[in-house]
Amino acid sequence: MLSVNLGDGSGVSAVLATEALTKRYRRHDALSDCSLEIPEGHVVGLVGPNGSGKSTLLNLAAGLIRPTSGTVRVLGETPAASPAQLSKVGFVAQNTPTYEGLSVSDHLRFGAHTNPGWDHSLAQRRIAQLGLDLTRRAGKLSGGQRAQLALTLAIAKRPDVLLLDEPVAALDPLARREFLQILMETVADHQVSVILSSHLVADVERVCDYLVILISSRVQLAGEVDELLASHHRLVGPREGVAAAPENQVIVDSSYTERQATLLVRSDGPITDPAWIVEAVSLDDLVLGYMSQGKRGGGPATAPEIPR
Amino acid sequence: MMWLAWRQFRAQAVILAGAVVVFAVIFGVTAPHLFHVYDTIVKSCTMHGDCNSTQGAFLNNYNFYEHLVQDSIIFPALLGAFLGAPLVAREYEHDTFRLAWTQSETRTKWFAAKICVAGIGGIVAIGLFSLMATLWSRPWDHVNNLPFSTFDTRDLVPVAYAAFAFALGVAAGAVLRRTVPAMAVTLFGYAAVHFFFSENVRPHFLAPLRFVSKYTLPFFSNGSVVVRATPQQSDWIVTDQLINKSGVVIGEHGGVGSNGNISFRNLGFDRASFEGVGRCPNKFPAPPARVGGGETIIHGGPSHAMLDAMQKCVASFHLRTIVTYQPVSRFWTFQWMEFGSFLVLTAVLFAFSLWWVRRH
Repeated sequence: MLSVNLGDGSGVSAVLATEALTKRYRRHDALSDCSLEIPEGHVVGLVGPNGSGKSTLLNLAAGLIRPTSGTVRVLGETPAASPAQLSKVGFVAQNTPTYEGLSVSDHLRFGAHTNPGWDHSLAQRRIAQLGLDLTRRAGKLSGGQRAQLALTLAIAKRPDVLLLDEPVAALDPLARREFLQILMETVADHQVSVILSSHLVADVERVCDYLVILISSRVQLAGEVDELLASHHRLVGPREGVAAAPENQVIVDSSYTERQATLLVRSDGPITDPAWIVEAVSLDDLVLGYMSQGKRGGGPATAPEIPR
Repeated sequence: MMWLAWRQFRAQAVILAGAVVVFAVIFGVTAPHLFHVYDTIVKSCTMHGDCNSTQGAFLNNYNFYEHLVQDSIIFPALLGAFLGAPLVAREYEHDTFRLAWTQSETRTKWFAAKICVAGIGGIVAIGLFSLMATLWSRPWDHVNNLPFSTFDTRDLVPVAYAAFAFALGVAAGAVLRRTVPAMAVTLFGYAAVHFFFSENVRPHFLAPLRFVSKYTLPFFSNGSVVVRATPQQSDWIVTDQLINKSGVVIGEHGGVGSNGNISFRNLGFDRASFEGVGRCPNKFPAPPARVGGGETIIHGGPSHAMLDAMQKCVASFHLRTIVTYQPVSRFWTFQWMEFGSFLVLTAVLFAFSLWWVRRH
């Protein structure tokens, strides 16, 4: 898999490394044979349709559930193996659960009592910035405020990695933008790696520089956004030309009219065939292309190698 | 985590403390009069020689409060259902376990903090109640003189029941992950285990003593059966079986058949039969009453001649009774044994719950 040296010379360690990771529930696989290695220092977008295993992967990484088989390591350690490991990981669960009977300041006190690295002034500052009433019960907060409170708890423990499971799914567009904005500020201020899941590409596009596409419980694609965009192209050309596609191209998705073909291809070199019009792809195109491929069930069993 | 556990328990702690105070007031207000009556009237009744009616009146007067104490047998179940069952289940229901378990402390610590704070709080409340109830009931118990009949609501065992019910609630909540079903399981589960224990385990903590005697009819007086003098009234009769000449059990509970009935059937002319045993060889005087189709069940106060005839008939069958019983001297041994048994069950349930929570 792709690995990127961050340039500090200390070598590359994976923020999340999984090997043949599988979580099976009674009837179905929530995650199958997932092998990933995500380097530190990225904001990772985990995208895929609902039920594709995003939540399962993040809950495994947070140590809330255990794998059926395979291994998962976060920052080189088994999730939730020790208080020290737990202190390095900030987690915001789906629907941002909080204790509804406890006030905002109770939550901060809870964070302070259970995290040795708790940054009190950071927590205070954030709550003040958000204009949250400290005495207000969490159950009376709006969805956006609750998400912000949950994020504050996760950030103020000063983790090395933040795992966010659909943090903005339940928020209105304004709250969503505000949440992501604050998230980005935090990333910039504290050099924290982030893995966030979303089924909306727009969210991911705004903040992420690394992408993992999960479809039907399998990893379809993983890599840095820039490189993924550079290595994928949209080709428009005559239908009969499809069979003659060059060897260094893999067709990810295709659609046809009577005479014309539109292909989404991955290619390690420039496409020189004059029969094809080459267009750049957006992240949206890319994700949708892999999604429709996954839906047809014709996708590769393992994630395609991304050329360097 | 201790902080969170305490913060979550705070509201329930107030309710528990309030309940303890309410009972303290009830006991406190009624106790002076109760003890006064006991000390002045009941204790001295032996001198006046009219103890039965005095004691009967005393028991009747305080029946209401004593029922209150007897009904406290459900307190441990309520504690398990309302304090134990939601403890873990609510965290699953509201998804807050994902918040709690991703702070910098392990699940084991989280679990230990929760059961310590809520468990100790609940058990202390039940313990205080049991202490008050036991002290308050002293005079009543002394007159009643059936310590094993109030075994479940006195002294040590309520504390162990509370611990067990609480642990059962926690375990049900951890497995079911839903508060309401876990509460139902706790209530029924506690009732079932408690019933099973008192019916099938407690009587055999130590091998019961046996008392074999020739069977004679219990005395009749004013329509009520007087309890046999041996073993003592305060002992716990475990079984009271009737055995015929050839050693076959023909009745339980001091009578014939599984219900322990004692009845004679009028066969017409001066003949009768001892129901379930056989035809009486002797003659009977004219029956005192006739009910329905020629069948007379004798109860109430039969005449002397009738009583004689009945005794003679019973004696002709050479019946024996075998009473097995736990003497009152074993009361505290049994309290400790029951206390210990339920604490062991409690520990097993806690260990199971922790294992389950860590595994899933």
